[in-house]
Amino acid sequence: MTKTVHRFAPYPIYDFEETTKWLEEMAANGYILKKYRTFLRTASFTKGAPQNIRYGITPKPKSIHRSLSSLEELTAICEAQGWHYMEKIENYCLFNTTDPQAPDLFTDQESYLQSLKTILKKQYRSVLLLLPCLLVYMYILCSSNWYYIIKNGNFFLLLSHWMIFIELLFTSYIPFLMETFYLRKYVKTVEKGEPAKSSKFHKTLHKITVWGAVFAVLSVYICLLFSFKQPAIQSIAGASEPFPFASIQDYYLQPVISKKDSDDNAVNYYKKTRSPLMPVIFDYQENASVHFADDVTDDCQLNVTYVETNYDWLAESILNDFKKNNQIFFSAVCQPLDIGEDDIETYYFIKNNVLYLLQRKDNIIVSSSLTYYLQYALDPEETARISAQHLK
Amino acid sequence: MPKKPLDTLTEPMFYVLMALAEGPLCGIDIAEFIRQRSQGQVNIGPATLYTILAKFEKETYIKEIMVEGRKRTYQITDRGLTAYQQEITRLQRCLNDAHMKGGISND
Repeated sequence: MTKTVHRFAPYPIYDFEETTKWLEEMAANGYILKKYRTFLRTASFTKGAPQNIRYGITPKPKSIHRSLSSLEELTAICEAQGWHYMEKIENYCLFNTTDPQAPDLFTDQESYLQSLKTILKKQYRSVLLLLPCLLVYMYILCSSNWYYIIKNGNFFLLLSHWMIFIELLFTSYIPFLMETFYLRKYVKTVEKGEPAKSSKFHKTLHKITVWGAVFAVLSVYICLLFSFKQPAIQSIAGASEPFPFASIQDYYLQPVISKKDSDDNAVNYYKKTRSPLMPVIFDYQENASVHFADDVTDDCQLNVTYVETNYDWLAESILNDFKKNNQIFFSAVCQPLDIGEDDIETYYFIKNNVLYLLQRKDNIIVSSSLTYYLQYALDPEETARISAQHLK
Repeated sequence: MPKKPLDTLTEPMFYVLMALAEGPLCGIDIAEFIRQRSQGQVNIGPATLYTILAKFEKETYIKEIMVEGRKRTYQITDRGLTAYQQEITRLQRCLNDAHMKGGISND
């Protein structure tokens, strides 16, 4: 049985000379390269008999032809001169040969420099393309209604999102940015014909990548764990909550909106504070879906969020869940929400001074299935007033 | 607007143009031509050759004329031929200068 050994690469892959020298030394000691991973710069080796293998790295050729891919052409030229294509590693191609007569992959400094510059250009482009993605994520985190989530005790939920952001930053963007910076420096060094000093840079980069990744991944999971351990919040959907494991009530029921909090009307206020991270549709199980939306009724000026589902069993389970939690249900005589139908069975219940409505009717959506509305009033003053009326 | 020609051709670049000036060839044949013509004195590595071909194609010194299996055959363009001839003239002038300075006679 062959033994596989994993090692951190001591040099960045763009330093072709040092990387191949290291791989050749490993082969001479009986460690034959099996797989090279650019993520965290690890290489897997198979332990065997020492071999004289030469390795070569080239930038991945850019495909500009439709007739024949550039990589195929490059591998054909390499094979004709005794080099075997091993694998593609991001922007690079790895070759090896056991033929001592085979010429080096690069036989002049000019072409080596030229290929490094090609990679550098690609790196610049990727750095610029990734930046807006990170900024958008950051904007979402900063502009959402996390205030309400923290207010309701789920601080760790917010923290876990920030940790995901930090993880992306530390494991992807910063290493990539630093690699680009060091590559630029390396290209300049090669251009001047000076000896490269890449190992020192690489060690810093490596430390940031590894510790950043470890810290961020651990933090995400710890935060999510604490998020689980928050004071029990009644979930209308049972145990099968979607990521990030917050109950629907976290998102929709707890942030009760008061008109006093804002000069704007309630709906604008609600829209303004609603996080883009909040999902519009939750898929629960077996294709059942619950759709969330928000609306303001003209009749009673209630700011409501409603839940609709095409599955009666799901609506029943939501209803039963409220019943199980000793929430008050009562049938309505009048309907504060006019949806233009007569055959609506409406239930009202109260929790935390909020009026909830469950309206049930047949064939409200163009389909043969049943549709149920579960509506939550979000204005405490209005709902208290209306609920008081109904309770009479 | 025509592109600015390459300032100078490196030795491998010069040999690649030399090979293609003789007729259309694919990358593998170019390497073989150079090895034979230089009697093994010039050996161009595959990555160097590929980089040069890609650069020449970008600079329109050469163009693809045929694809057969994994081989792409290139032909030198007028622009490439001009660059090649200019390089010969330049090298010739360098040689002449060297001979004159040292007082070396061709005879």
